[in-house]
Amino acid sequence: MELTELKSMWQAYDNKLEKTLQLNLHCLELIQTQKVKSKLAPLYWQRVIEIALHAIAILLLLIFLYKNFFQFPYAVSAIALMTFYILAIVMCLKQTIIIKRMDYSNDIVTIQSSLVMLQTHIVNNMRVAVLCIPTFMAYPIVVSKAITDFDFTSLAYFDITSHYQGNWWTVQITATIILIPLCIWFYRQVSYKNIHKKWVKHIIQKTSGTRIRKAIEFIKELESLKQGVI
Amino acid sequence: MNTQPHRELFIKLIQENKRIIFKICNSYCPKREERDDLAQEIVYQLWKSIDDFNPDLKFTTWMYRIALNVAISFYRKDKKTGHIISLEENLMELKDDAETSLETEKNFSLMHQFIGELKEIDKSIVILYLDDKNYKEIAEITGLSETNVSTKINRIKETLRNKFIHHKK
Repeated sequence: MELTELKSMWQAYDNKLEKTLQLNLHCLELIQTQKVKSKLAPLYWQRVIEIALHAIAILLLLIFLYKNFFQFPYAVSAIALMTFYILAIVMCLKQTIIIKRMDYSNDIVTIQSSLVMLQTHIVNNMRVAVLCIPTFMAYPIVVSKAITDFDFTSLAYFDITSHYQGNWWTVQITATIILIPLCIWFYRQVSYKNIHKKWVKHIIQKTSGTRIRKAIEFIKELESLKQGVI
Repeated sequence: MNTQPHRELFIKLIQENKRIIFKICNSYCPKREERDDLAQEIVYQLWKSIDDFNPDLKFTTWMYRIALNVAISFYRKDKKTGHIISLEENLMELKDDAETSLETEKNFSLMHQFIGELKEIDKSIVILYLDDKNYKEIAEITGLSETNVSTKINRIKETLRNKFIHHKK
């Protein structure tokens, strides 16, 4: 069957619909009176809640910083954590702006590209979380001090193993120095641009399910179209 | 846009173009039970956006853009999120049609199956093409260039031809 035959079949189908398709006016009126909820609306509120939670965390960290400003380990830990919360807020704000500006009457490529960016949010969160790993010790330092007033850094001369009379800070700094390039490398690799790599595809699918994979495939398709590959 | 005459005008416009919405829903939603959810979502977005209607655009161009954008987004959503819209009746219903033969019905179903198997953007292009939109209009609705639309249509023709040949075998 050629596309022309398909076209005439489509026309016949259209004629059939003209005769048989009925619109339920009661439902239409309910939609007009906004008595139904959009399936796409919750996304905005999810981001607003995330912003609120991150803002609370920043506020608590600011209080902590104010109280411990002149104690180097605490101040550095709090600033490190705040940096990531600020980053998270910026990401969420960007998304709420995209959602608010989303106008479905724009062309398909524009809207779908924005939607894909929204849908990859969970992957971006995971990437930023990985980027936080080098500062992993900041959490116990801040939390133990804030909740129990326990000085985590007093473990500085704790015997880590019987063979190593370790300085706690030396261990942390060494671990951080090793982790920073690793985490940056991971952050750069786990992106939809590298979805062709098996392990990246696996991680993205495990993090966010097949919905994101579909979205990513769509944006890759659009990019190939723009470049004239297809 | 919440006044009675506006509402009536909107109903009239939807009434005139309901086939567009139905055909898009049918092409993007293989499951019958989800089709009406999609139709409601499309009408909801159309109603929400009508105030911002750009008079430079043809009404159908504007409608296709919204309907196709909603359909693609809906198609990609997790189905396990369940029904948020809780209308008990269906927005669109098909009356019994004794005139259409079984053979024609089979062909319609085959046509939907093949269109349904296309990629998301290809589905949009083929729907617009079959609805007699020219390349310029398809480009305007999809945001692709006319050259890209033309290339895409040739590819889709090839894909559909292969599907039919494979089906006949």
